[in-house]
Amino acid sequence: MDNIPNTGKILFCGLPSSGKTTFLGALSYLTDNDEVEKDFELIGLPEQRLFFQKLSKDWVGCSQMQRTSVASSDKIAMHLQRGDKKIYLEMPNLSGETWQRLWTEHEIDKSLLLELEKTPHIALFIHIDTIVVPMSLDDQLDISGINPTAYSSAPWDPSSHTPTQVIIVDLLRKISGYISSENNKKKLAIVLSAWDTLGKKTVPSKFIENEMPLLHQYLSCKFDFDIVKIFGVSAQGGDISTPEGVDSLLEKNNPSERIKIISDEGEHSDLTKILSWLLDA
Amino acid sequence: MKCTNPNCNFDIDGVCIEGKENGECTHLESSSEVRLITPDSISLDEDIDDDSITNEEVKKKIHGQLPLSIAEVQERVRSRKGKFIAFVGPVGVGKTTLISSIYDAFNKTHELPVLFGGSDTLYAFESLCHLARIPSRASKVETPRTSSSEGVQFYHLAVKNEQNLRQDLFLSDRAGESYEEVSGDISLGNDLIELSNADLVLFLADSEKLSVNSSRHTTRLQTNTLIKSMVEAVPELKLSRCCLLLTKFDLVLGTEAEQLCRDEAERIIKHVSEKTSCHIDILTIAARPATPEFEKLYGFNSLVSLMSVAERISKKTEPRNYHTERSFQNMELIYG
Repeated sequence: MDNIPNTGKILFCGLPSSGKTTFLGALSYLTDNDEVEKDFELIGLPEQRLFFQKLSKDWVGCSQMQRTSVASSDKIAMHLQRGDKKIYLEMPNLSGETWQRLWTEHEIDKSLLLELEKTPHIALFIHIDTIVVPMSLDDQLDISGINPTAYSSAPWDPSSHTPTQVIIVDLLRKISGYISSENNKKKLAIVLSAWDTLGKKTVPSKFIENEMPLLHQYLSCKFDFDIVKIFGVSAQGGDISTPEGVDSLLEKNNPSERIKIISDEGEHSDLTKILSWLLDA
Repeated sequence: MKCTNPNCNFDIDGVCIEGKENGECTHLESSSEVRLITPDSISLDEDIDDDSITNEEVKKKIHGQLPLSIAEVQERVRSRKGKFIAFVGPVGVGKTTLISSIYDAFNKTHELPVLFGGSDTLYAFESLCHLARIPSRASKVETPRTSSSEGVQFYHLAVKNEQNLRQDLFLSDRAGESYEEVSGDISLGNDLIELSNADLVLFLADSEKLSVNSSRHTTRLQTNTLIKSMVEAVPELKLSRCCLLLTKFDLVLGTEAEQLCRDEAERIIKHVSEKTSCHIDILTIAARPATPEFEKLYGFNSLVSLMSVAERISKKTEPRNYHTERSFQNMELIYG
């Protein structure tokens, strides 16, 4: 039934604080505990498993996930099974700065280059609460009716002044040139993190269409990626910045049920479905 | 000392663009503090040559920080056909502003007739847009001026057209002074490579200047002279689709001045057609309207459609006589 390879690697890319580590924390706990229906079952961990355990512990305790250092070579690895098919899956945990440097410095670590060349599976993370939008001075006048005040103009800072969708498009264009492809088709999963913070009811693909038109057009053209799926993910399940928020999350008997994944097809708690979608040929 | 305002050349000519005395202007900084915010393709091209290894052996430099040079464009069109759009006009008419506004329109809307599919010059586009955006804290919308020392540079847009086909558009940008120089000495026209290969040439004229008595005659004369000189200096331009693009049209639309502006534009294309037998269309546009009430993206759909459909007339080329029979040398002559 399965047409997935025996070994796989998924690269999680995204700007700093885009939710990559929280996702890995939730995934570590979810795979190791049978609390919800899953596509993949965990059948074993490699000898080096400290990082996996730490992420799982931080996540289930609702602790703030530690920021990934630029020099990090940590990775999560696990033996998974779906039906009769077994797979050894590696997921390196690279810092957001590593990815951001592709935009700000236009340079790429050779080690990252090697990772990309061996990886056909990319999951891109966007934190929906920290999106920088391309607001022009005319928009300000439109909205407030007030002319912009004359300050000393600020020089362009590529990392903080650039709209998020632009950096993401640039990042995707660059990595698409390096990654390997299966059957000449390049696949991309987009994870919209902190989906629970979105006030209005919508589906992830509509969110991209409405809030990030440049990215939406880029993905629709399919010049660089042939198959794209967009997921809204609440990996933490709620707000852990307040004691009340933490209490409410810890009240749940089955922590895996904190996880919410929304795609155009519906809602569930199984993060391994995203891996499954990526790995399916 | 250098000025943080990219429009001011204080470090070169010692003149403050705001008319302040040395030391009074708060925008001045010592050179070491100034950040590169405008593309500077000529001096840095060699440094970012494709995929060259940086000093740090562990890192690899990747292209994309600056507009493309002609060599970089040629490299791209060898593997995939490109479409060349040239923006021609005097200083301050809004060539660079229009280029950045076309890009910025894709950032904000799905309503254009083609879809944005990517760009090799996103970083350069973004640096152009900065002074029109809120984070710049600028008091009015501005675009960094293109310097004549930069020569010609190209901005890239990959789009999917209405027939669902990919098109790679290369938008050329060159300082207005350079075109004015060629107007005065057409022997300099050999350097205008963006015109000899263009699918579409947009001659820009300021609508407001064409519509008031104090400037309409000189603006019409200047535009006539510019177009005629370009056609004479670059004869291949007759194979391109040509268009007179009336910029800042928001300032005249719906006013008494509108008809005068349109009449002057008609006089220009009639005069130029008679003198050069070059057919020219007229389009109107407001890249950055002065008032918020004005229709957003006025004229963009027509312009982007034209950019997508315009095609250079293919000319049957005569067999070329090469200086030598040697194959390799002939290939060099063909591919340059």
